[in-house]
Amino acid sequence: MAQGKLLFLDMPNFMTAARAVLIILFVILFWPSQGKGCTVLAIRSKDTVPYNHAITGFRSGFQGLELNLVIIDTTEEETEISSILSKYRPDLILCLGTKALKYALTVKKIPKIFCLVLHPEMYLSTDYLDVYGITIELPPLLQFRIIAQAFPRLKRIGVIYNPEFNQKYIEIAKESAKSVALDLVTCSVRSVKEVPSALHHLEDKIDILWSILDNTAYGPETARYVLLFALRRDIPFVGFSPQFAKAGALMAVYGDYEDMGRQSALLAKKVLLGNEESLVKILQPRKARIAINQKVARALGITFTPEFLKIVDKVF
Amino acid sequence: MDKNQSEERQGHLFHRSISIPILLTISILLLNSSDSLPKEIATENLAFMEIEDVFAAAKHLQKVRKAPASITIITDDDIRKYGYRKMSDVLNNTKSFYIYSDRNYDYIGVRGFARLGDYGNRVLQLVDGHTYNDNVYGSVFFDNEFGIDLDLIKKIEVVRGPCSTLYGSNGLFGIVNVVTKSGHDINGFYIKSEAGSYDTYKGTFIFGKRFENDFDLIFSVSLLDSEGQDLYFVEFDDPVTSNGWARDADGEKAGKIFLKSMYHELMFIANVSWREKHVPTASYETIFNDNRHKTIDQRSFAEIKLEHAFESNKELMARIYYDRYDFVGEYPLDYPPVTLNKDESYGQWMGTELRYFQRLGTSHHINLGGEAILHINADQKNYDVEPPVTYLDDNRSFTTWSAFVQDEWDISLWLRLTAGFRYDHSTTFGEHVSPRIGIIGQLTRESTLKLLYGQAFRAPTVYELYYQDDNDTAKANPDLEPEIVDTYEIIWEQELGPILKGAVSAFRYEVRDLITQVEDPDDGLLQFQNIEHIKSDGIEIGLEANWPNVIKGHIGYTFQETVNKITDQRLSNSPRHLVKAGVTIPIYKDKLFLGTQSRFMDERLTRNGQHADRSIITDLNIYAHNLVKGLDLSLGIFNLFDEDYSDPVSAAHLQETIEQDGVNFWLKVSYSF
Repeated sequence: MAQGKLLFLDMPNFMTAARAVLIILFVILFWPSQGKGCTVLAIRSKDTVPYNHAITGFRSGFQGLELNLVIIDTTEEETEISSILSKYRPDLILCLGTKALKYALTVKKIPKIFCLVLHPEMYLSTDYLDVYGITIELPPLLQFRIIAQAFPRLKRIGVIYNPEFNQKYIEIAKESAKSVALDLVTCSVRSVKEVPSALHHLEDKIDILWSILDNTAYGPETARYVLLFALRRDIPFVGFSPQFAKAGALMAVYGDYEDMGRQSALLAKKVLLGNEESLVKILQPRKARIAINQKVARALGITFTPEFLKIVDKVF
Repeated sequence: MDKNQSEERQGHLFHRSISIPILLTISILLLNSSDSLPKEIATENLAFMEIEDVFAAAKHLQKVRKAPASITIITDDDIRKYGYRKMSDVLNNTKSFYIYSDRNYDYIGVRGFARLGDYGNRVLQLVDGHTYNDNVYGSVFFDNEFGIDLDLIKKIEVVRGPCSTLYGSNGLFGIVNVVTKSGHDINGFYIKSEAGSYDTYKGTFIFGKRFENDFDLIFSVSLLDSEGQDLYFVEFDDPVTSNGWARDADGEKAGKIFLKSMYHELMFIANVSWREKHVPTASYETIFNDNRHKTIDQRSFAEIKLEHAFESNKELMARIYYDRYDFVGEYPLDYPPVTLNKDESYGQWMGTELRYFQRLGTSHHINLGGEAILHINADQKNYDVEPPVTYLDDNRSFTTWSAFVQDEWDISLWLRLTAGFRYDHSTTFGEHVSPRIGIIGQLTRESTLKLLYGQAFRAPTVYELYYQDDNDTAKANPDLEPEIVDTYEIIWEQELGPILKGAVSAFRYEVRDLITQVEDPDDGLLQFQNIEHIKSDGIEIGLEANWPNVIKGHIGYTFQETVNKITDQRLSNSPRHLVKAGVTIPIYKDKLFLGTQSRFMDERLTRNGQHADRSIITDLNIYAHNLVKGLDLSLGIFNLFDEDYSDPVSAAHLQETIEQDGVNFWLKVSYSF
């Protein structure tokens, strides 16, 4: 009797409980990627070491939180990317490089974080409310502080640049140089043909030659020429990538790609938590790395102080 | 094929070759319209851009500026853009150098000095610092018998002037040092197919890589096959000698293998080359139009080298090496009866060298070292095959050793004194001391003045010392002494703005005891003797332009007056005026380039006082880089205006001069992956 009563009384409850269990099971089974953590789709402009370093940094910035990171390249077919988007329904897109950012901007309703992008302001109109990130260019002030540390008696830094592309950056650089008691001597070039005469014009006016991301002045067509010129004239040259230091620049000051990834992760977490109101849309890298070429230093008769050598990351 | 047919064939090739570059240009323009990156992405990618190491090049340029010599550097980029096919092409377009050919070998002349039949043995040829001249004739190898393919060359350093102070014998008039590429420079596989006029084909395979543990390897194989030309020689225009036509007698085959591996400071290099050339000129009184007349050269070497840089500006270089040279010449002669005569030589030697460099204080750079060579074999043989008669069977072995010291003293920031000497000892000729002194003034940042004096020597070769043919035509002279040259030179180098660089130099060469083959009046036999005294005065003017992505070019003029001091007569094969000019221009971005060169050679006396006419030869090359990723294409037209010109040749020929190639073509297709 008692058993029958139990059955009679509990049948509806049992069915309700069973339905609940089934629903929970369904949710558990069919919501695996959107469990406790979040899904981030990382789009690389291409599969290269700096982007992979940034991804490593991004992962480490998410430590303690569950991160489901899906990585694709812009080289993949568009249909493939679309199917990945619909399959994983990411909470956020991480764009590595301009090509990736430009592609991601075509995807609506998903917030985006970019890093290693040059001049991102060119692409971010007011329509894009949910896009934040880190530029690839180091702030000039950060670079000048490092250069001044390497050469305490330095007065004049020279740079050639294409004003069509870098006028604004140079204006900021001039102000930054002043703030560390340096004189930035500039010379503009509008085509690679003008580079030799620009260097000739600068050589007696500068103590050191600095470089910026400028395809005209320091691009593939001119990098070797500029390096050779600096070496032949005994002018210390500061490159913007470790490859420059390896090739014959005295030193290079360049972005810490892994740290840029960590910086992106910080932005991503704030966006995912809905704290984006406080965010600045475009940040600059906060950490620089330093490479030096000791062979070149010896040839130029330059000795770095032990204090400076302690902060050097790479020695060629 | 008669002369008309030959011209028709060349005309057909000409039209085809003109149409190829046009198609090429269009295809590249089409290809590039789609693959260029937007400017902002290209700029962003600069952060990851690989850049070629320029430190060594810059250090070298500085060294060139401060070197006690006039130096020209030819880079791999120049080789590609000018479409050079062999070393002689490179040197023929280098200021003060000229090449002449007897259609068997290419020979070299420098500053008006090129003795007919001297095998180029007054110039020192090096491969990565390793002496390449052989130990029987002292000859250089600038034709297809040279063991290093141009694709393997990173740069060629051409040094004018005496260099016995550092390198001993042979460096009488200059050095040609070939610096080879490393595996890192190739970074993968490289295959190349070439086709040229006269049914010439060549294939090259290279693998090169630097592995993660810093082990660097480069390996190369190449093969060449050429049918050659049917050639007409007026000297043989007689029905008995096929009306002067030598048919199927100009063929050539060559093969080369090269291996270089490096691990940190240790390098191993090995090279084997082989070349067979049929001789169409009936030299050495051979039967005309008999294609059994040929020469075979085999040259090989292996070397282990260690270079170590100590702290505090000390450097050490040590090497051990083994070399070998084999020559076979086959000469069909009609004594009568018709007999095949063979000339053979076999050289085998091994040696070791040590060089030490140290900077003393801030102003002295001491360079000292020594070398010892054991010439295991320097053998010569001459014989008839059937009936067997041996005329010469001379087997020699000898040793040489040397020691040298040189100091570069920076007296002040702008003044350097270079002084040194080398002592050479040989069991064949005895001993010789070669001194050198140079004052280099860096007058302004742009101007350098060099005042130079040097003495160099050339030891008599085993061939000159001991060749004889059983008193038939030639006899030996074991008492030969080294020939000696004293050189005085003043050089002014001037940078003219950021793009132009100029140089002017005036030189005087005085050669004593020049080794020359003469007829002994007592017995009528040919013999090498130290009899001639030569004086050469000259000036050189050169201008170089290097404007990235606009133009790279050079123009050089050399005037030289080279006379025999005893007879006061001009030397044979010595042009008074030489002009070399070349330019490379990008036609489309860094994808398509035009390279063109012209060279003027003044008239030259032949061995019997006749003249080889002056000539202006122009070459043109179109080079397409990365047509699609890794694919390069190059089309060269040589002697573009089909200039008729001839070179004087040695007494081994009936001809006074031999006509050289007319317009001819060369197509190269290479793929790297």
